[in-house]
Amino acid sequence: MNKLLSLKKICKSFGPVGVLKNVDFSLERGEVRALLGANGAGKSTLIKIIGGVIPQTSGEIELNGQPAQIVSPIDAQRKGISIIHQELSVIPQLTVLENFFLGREMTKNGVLDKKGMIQRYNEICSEMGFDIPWRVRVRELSIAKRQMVEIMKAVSCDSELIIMDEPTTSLTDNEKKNLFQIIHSLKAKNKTIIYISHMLEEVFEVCDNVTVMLGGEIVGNYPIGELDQHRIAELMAGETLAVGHDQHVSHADYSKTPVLEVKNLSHAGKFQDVSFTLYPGEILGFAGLVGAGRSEIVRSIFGADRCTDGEILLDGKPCAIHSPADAIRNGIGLIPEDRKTQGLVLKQEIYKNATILSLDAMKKNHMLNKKKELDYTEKAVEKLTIKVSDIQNRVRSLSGGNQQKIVVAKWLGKDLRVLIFDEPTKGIDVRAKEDIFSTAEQFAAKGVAVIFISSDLEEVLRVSDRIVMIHSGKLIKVRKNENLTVADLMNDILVKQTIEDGGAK
Amino acid sequence: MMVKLETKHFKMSDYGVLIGFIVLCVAVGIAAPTFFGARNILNLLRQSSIIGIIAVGMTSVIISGNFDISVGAIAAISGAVVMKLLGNAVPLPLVILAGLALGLFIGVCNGVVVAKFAVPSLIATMGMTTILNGAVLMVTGGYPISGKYDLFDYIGNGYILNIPIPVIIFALAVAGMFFILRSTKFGRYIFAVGGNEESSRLSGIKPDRIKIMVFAVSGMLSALAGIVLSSRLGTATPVAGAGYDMDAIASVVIGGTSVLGGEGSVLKTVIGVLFMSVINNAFNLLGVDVYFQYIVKGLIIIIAVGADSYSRKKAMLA
Repeated sequence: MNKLLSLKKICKSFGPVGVLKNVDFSLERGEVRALLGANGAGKSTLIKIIGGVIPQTSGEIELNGQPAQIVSPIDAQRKGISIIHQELSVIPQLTVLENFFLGREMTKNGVLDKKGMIQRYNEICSEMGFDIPWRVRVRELSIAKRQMVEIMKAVSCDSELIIMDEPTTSLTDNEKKNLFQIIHSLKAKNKTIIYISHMLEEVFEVCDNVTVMLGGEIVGNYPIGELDQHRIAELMAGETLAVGHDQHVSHADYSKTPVLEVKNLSHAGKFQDVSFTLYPGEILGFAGLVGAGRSEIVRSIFGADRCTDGEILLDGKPCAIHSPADAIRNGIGLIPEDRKTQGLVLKQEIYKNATILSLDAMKKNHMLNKKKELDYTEKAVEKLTIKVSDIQNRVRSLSGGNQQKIVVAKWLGKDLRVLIFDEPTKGIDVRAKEDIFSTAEQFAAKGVAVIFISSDLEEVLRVSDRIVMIHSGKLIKVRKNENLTVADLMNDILVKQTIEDGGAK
Repeated sequence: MMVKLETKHFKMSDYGVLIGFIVLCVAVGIAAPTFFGARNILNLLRQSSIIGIIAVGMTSVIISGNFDISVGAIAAISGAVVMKLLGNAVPLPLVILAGLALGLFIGVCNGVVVAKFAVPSLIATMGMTTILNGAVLMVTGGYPISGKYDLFDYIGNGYILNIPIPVIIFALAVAGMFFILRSTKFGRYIFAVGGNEESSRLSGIKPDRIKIMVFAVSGMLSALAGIVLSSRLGTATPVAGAGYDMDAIASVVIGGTSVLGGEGSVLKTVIGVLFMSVINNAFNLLGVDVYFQYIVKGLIIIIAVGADSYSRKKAMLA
């Protein structure tokens, strides 16, 4: 066997933050390699460096035994490296043929050589055993077929290395089988594949070897035969650090009627049959991978998305929520996933963002009163320790953590029963994170029931009384947060469950 | 030589138009001393008031992130209907109420199409313009409707305390919009929806409702402008109001309200309206060719908006 690609001591940092630390990674020609790791482990960064999207800070790349520099995605393609991205890069309005030859159209005497292109396309199609007519517009194709177009494109570029980033997320079972067959046939042609997926079953189905990453480092490389799903979950979790946190204090009161009862909530294609209860003062953590459907579930509870089926009980009474306005009237709040596009109006002043939910309380003689608004905001700034020079500046001027706290400040003036934090700690510093945790706990201490979503499982363990495990849109089980470790959670949300009723373990 | 004028609460971009306006007035005053005469100023204000009334409504539409180009057509149909009703001896208060209600209704239709069917506002109101052009021809039969009605005549031509009544109506519209935008929930929600619709929705605001209300206000103010216009001229013609849409939008954006929505002020619009009028007035006082006036007006619009978006683009790339 000969080496196709070899990375030596690759480091990558964004500012002071090291994302990859001395990564050594090499691929043999003709192998299918799984690249695994939790969110933030450094997989994407590694792929981007191989694909020429970003340069490494230090370290060397060898291609076919020769030192190589990959300076751009086009350069990568010329060197035989193609990436099939999670968000496909085909243009829906163009036909299959136009997409296929985009940027490398064949010409004859300065005019597009359509005949030639059709011929070439059909050759590749039959070679790969696909049947996608060239004249169809890509938007009329299923995601799976679009993917096939991209794979064909990669093959037709004579790519030696094809990187597939979570290729199965939107595929049906049949389409998956199809994809696996394609992978096997590519392998038979001695092509090399890096396969990224959170679905461990798939890894066992198609991959020869596994590389596990954790915290920007390679944990190890293993032949697939040496591993099972539980072992992989352990490797991905690494050693859990049990120190350095403030201790979580529970305010949950399980003797009372649940504040929120969700029964058989479903949304076709997003999540199915989700049921759970939430008690006064309780913090319920949602553990799951990105794309597992956590945000979709809470958005439905909040009325931001419609759900197709199911029931929501508030204080034991059925409650119809058709819009966020309904939810808010019923005392349900949401701190959405993306503060910039969903939580704030960036071009508005800080105080106007903070008071938007409480304008009725900001009136004096039936008119909005600026002084009241400033007072409200000042109090919130103090309570949430927001670093701000002038609350009349635009909210855009704040750092990520402080912006997030303004989103929290919006809910301080509301009489809440339930408050949902959806990935509140994304992209904010450690200090601000700890502030967010204690804010969640303060709400709980006042009897508010809290749902806390985070992709960082340590955070879920830090704040939760109980933890809901979600995998592929299904609620796998609910566990009390007692003596749980990251590895336990990882195991629950990653490993295909044989018993899905979530009984006591 | 660049002098750094900006401080935390004083941004050049906020006052640039005002400073430009003052410079313009002084320059015109020096070139044509009659400019600062009381008579000329009152005339100028009266000329501004009809576009001004429309621009007040347009300000709220643009802040909400939309455009309303049916304003001229709404003015025309309301004027025509009002003249027609007066000709049929319907009492004046009823006539005015009917005119305003018509504008309100058309505005609501615009809003519903934009909000509920998600038609881009430019297209929705363009379609409405065509519908109204047809309707106004049907109402008028293609000919001007004229008539002399003493009390009605007073709206466009009368004075209170030496101030032309159209100017007073314009001032009241400005004051009303200023109050809405600054001191009411509705006003705050207009900014929020224009700034970020999704954030607004997740904050319990109903963006559809806000949009419909904004178009309703714009429709009603356009109808008011149409009534004032037909009173002023003593006649309603099918082509009245042509070009008002663009003049109103130009006034709003020259004043400094962002075409992207979420920011702006009705006071800025007042400056924009006056700016346009002063230029017109100056050209007339100085005897500049009418055709040339169009070219200059067009350039001013492009420069005013261009300066704003260019600084935004630079800030984005920085």
